[in-house]
Amino acid sequence: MARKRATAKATAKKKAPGLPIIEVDVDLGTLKATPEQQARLRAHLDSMLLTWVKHDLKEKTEWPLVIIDHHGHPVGGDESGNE
Amino acid sequence: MRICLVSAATVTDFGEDAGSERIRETAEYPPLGVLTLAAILREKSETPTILDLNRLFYEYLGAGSARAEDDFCAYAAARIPSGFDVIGLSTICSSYPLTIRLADRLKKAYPDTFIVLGGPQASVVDVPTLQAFPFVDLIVRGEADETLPAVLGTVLRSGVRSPALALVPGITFRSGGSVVRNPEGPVVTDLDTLPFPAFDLLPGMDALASFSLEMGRGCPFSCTFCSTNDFFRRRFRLKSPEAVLAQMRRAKREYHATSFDLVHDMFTVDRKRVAAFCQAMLDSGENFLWGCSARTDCIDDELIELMYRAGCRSVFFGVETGSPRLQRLIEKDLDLAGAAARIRRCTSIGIDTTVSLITGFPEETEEDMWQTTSFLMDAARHERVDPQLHIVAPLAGTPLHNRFRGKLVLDDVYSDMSYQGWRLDQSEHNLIASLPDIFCNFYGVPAPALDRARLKHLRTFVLRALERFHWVTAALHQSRGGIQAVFETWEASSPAQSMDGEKRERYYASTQFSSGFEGFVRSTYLRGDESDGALEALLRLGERMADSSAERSLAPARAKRPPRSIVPLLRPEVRIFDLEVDIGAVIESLRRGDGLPRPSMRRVTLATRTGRPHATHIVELTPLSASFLKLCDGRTLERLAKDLECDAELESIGRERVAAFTFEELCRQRFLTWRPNSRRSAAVAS
Repeated sequence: MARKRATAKATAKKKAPGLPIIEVDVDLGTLKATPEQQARLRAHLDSMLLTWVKHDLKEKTEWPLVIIDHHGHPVGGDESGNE
Repeated sequence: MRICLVSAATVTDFGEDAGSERIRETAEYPPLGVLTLAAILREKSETPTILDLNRLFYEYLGAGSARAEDDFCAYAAARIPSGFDVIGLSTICSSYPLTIRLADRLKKAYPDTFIVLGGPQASVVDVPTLQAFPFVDLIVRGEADETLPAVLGTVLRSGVRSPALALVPGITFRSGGSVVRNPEGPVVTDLDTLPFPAFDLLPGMDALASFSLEMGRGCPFSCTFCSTNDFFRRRFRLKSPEAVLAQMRRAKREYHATSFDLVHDMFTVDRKRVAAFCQAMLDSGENFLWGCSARTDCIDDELIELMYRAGCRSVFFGVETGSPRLQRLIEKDLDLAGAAARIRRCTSIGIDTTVSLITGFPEETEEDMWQTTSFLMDAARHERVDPQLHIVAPLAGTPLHNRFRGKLVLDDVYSDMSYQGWRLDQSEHNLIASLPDIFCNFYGVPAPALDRARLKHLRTFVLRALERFHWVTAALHQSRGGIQAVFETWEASSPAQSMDGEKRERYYASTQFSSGFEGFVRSTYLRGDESDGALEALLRLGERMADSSAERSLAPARAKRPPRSIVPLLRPEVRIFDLEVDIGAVIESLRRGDGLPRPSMRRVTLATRTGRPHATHIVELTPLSASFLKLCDGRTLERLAKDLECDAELESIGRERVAAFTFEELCRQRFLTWRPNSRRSAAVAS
């Protein structure tokens, strides 16, 4: 059972940190394209998803690697793994 | 009666890694067992207090140097006030040393408080625990839903030394200087009778990305390494679809939950009942999303499709070993070709899978080990697969433990199933070393044909390489001699080879590994082959992926009134880069398992953007998107419209309209943010 702890159940579509809902609250007024033009433009902006990478690799390198011993004191070493 | 229930810590053994977003999300799953017990006690007019050690651990980490206590155990003990008649501590194997130390501190601080342990670990090491630790008064074995109220009722009526405790089934306790083990207690036969867990006793339940609910208990299978059977006694039970749906709806109503982790060690044993559950989900119209555990031989393509339609988006598959011989020996008996096919089907339909494998079994040979690693590599070519490779741990009460009791080895090669961190508190290490029957999961089983330290090195290498250079690692496996040859070559030249366990783990978590691995691949595997161009492109992709995920998203800028002039800005995590190779075709070939192709030369512009939770997407941009994003260097939207590359069709729409629409669309696609065109406003907006 212990191994399941590390399982990410990535079923969430909301409330995930780092994924704000994008809303463009800028009124571009007269620059607005017509619906027909918008449809044509969308075809020009339909980028293709190739792959993705989970953020874990970021966290391993970014997490401030201050190791605390059991007395609560930081012990030697930095992010690069150097002592 | 004043009762405090303390959940088992599941994150303390991750040490500093517990801070990672992914582990933190998992750690915030509510402790269902404890919360269900709390709800049961409330029905009996008690008002228990809950202490969630995971949440407390993050508070402890966050307190930093401001905290007064030396270690987490002292910190936790100091947060349990006096005055409780009973403190009940839930237990699991990985944090059992911490639980024992906590019980010791609590008894010293409050000698009159009755200390009760329960949960999976204490249930199977009950007698030696009571013999070794006089500060533990009683252990509830197995499911506590009926047993704990019976214990508390007896203690309330007749006191903690009541002879009537001898009549409560399912407990082990101390009486007259000896340890008494009563017969087994009852299991809950109708899980629908259990109340809604007392989620209201924990803070932050409405902010969870995924909400846990119990789906059922018990697994009818008998894998030799697994501890589930002992606790739930192999009595497979499921809640009815109506009961689960009612709890989901209540969680939605009270905590805004729409995504659920349905907890059961083996949900898919009974196909008809799974199908009935799915139908109930479909009929409900709720569109809930959910995840579960399954065996690959208890699921078929048709059922997978039904589960997906019913909202299933993640499945945990315990495949365990890639060796057919070991499949039989560990009594898992999966057909590996079938397992691979089910994993492929899930990923193709849109279900994330965790594929869990274990190595280091006593009879395991090097050939078995490489079969397991190859299975993992084959599964991991799909992004939707989360690969896990564990070193086997002899969990107490399992056939594996019973067979090797007295022959276990204690070395520095802790199984990740027991301990994930890089350091272990010295006092806990002393406990483990002196009491192997209680803390057996920290030991290793003898595997004469394997070098355990090398096994751990292999595990770390494979998982870290997949994490940092997913497609490069897949390509090496498929087109450069397989993962075995790659690891053996890496071993011979890597600085990690001469490092001890802890230092090696830190090396692999550092950027030194990234640069070392990249140099290793360039010097070893770019050798004039016609597929070199594809491998080189994957290396560049890997570098960019790591680079782009180093930033966090910002909240979008907003303006109540239209600013006169806008400066479109790339979001901080976005990177734009060109490759001269059709990288999409290269990745597709690797996904199919066809290896590195001879690459088609084609200029592509790629970009990163935030995507599904905890992931960065790599997308191939259209010419218009590429042109626009490359111009987002601080110039205004008006200026950008003038500089944009437009063909005749776009010119006919009008550059300004094209730029305005493209800007809005690329904001929606999470590439862009913006600021008003004035320094003063910019500071406010960002």
